Amino acid sequence: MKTKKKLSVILLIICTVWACKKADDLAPDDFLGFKKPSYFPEPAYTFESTPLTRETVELGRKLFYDGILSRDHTISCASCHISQNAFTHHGHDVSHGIDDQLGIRNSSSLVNLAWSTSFFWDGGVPTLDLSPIVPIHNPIEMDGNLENGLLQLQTHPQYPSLFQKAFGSTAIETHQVLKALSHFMVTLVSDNSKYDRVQRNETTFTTQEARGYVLFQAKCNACHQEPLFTDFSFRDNGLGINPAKDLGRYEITQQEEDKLKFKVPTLRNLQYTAPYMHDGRIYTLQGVLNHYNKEIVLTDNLDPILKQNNGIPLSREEMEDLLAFLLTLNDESFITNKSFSQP
Amino acid sequence: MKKIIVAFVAVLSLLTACSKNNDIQIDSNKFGQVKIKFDHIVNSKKLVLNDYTYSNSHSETFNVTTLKYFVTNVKFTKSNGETYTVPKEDSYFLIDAVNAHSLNPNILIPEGEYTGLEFNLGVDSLTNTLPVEKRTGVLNPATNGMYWEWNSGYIHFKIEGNSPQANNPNNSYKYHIGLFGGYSTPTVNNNRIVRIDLTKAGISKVQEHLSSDIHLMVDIGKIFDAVHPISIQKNPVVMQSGPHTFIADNYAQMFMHDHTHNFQKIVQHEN
Repeated sequence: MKTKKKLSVILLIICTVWACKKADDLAPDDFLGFKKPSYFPEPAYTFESTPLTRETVELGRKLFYDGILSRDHTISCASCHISQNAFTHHGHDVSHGIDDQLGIRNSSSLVNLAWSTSFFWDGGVPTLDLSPIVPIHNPIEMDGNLENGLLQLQTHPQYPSLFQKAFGSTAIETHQVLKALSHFMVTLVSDNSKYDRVQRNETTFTTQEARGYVLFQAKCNACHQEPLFTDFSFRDNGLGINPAKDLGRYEITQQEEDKLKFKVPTLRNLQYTAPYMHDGRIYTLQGVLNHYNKEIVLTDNLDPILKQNNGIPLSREEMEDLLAFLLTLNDESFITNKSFSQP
Repeated sequence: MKKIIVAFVAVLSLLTACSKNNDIQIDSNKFGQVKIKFDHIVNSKKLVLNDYTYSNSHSETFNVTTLKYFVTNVKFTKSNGETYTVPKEDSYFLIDAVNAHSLNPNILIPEGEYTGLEFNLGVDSLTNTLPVEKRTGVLNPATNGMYWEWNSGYIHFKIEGNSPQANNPNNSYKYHIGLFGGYSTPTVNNNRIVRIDLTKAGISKVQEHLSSDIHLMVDIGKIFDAVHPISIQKNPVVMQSGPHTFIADNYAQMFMHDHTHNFQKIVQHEN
């Protein structure tokens, strides 16, 4: 009896150890790298010059969550791009950066970035690699200085060996910091919403969602193109000018025809990314539909599709159906993915 | 008589020696050094950062606290029209008034006699699309304040200073001139090609182990007055808006060839 008890205790211990060990062993296999979902187009981001590895991604993740690159070490990328909110700054129309200063634009969701052909609401940055310098150097975001940041990383107790593992040298250079951040960010792939499972024939839409999908394809898909739910173009969706006098794409190109145009955002994970629009002026999805339904401002560069139809006219039933479909774009596994959260 | 002959022979041999010295053997497989000296003035006064006061044709007075610009894509031409283009990756120079070393870039080019010098003032569109791992040295986007983060692109030319006519709290003026033509949507391109004729003030003779020093006077006063008069009062800050293309037209006119020193010994550890 006693022996049996003893034996079961030992067995239990072994099992526990085994379980722990298994978890540890599993971790390396967990690393999937970057995988293109079969029904997604070819990504714009490439890995020719710097292969993506577990080490580059993990280093990027650590940097993403570290305030070390901001002036006073208080602001990290994750301050305004929170994983549980699909990497937006939930509840903030515009974000507050260092010293609680406010910007003029809504923090974008960081999702499926490998397919993006330009970055930020005005598309001012053409590659993901060059994007992190913007918030790092922006005086109202992180107000940092990457040159200074490199020195801090070089004298840090952990970073030199992490850079060594990721890039094979302890010398920490600008492009390595940027590549590591990019490699973490391209792994932020969202492809497990109900919409995606329907695409993979794993489930089916409800009749209401199906009706919404038909409406979506007829009325929204021209700009919010499947399966990324954006065509990456710049359009004026009739919001009119805001108090910050933000002219969007015009700020980059200085072309009259670009005034008030902003990049079409993805619709994935909508439920987690409120408020909406480039300045976060609309707090609910119903509000967004109201905007397209009857609040369009007839600006000079208003998108021809919206001009032609005087917005997107929708009946109350159509709105409900459309909302039902839009909620199938929420990917809960994306916002709860442990490998995306603070290391 | 004998004395005269001896003197004559001596003079003759001296002359021969001289002419022999000038008659260099050109071997285009051998490379010699060219040093381009950028010597800054403002109108006719030497550039001294912070301390000196200058004026423009609008009778505005100003000083200069920062002056930096990119010189890239350097090319040399011979009288027969033949050109030598310095390999692109060796042809990025950031001229920075506070950094004495930056004012005299050295370049190795094939032996020969060169009558023209050409370079681009700014960072061309091809370079502006380089992948991040190739953006090292003066092209490092993080380290020299010559890069626009939010509208990706290098600043070609930057001048800052103070002027009582600049109507802002610090009485400061700032001209940051960038824009290279755009990635996807065409924009203004403020790169300017500068062509300098070396025949009037001395062609550049390049020989192995020696340096040909091309001395340029760079007149910063031209920024305000070369082609388009620029008023500091009207335009205390010019970056993406305002008369940036006018300033670009003006900076294309800053460079004047003053003289060339050929066959200079190369001092080691000169930096």
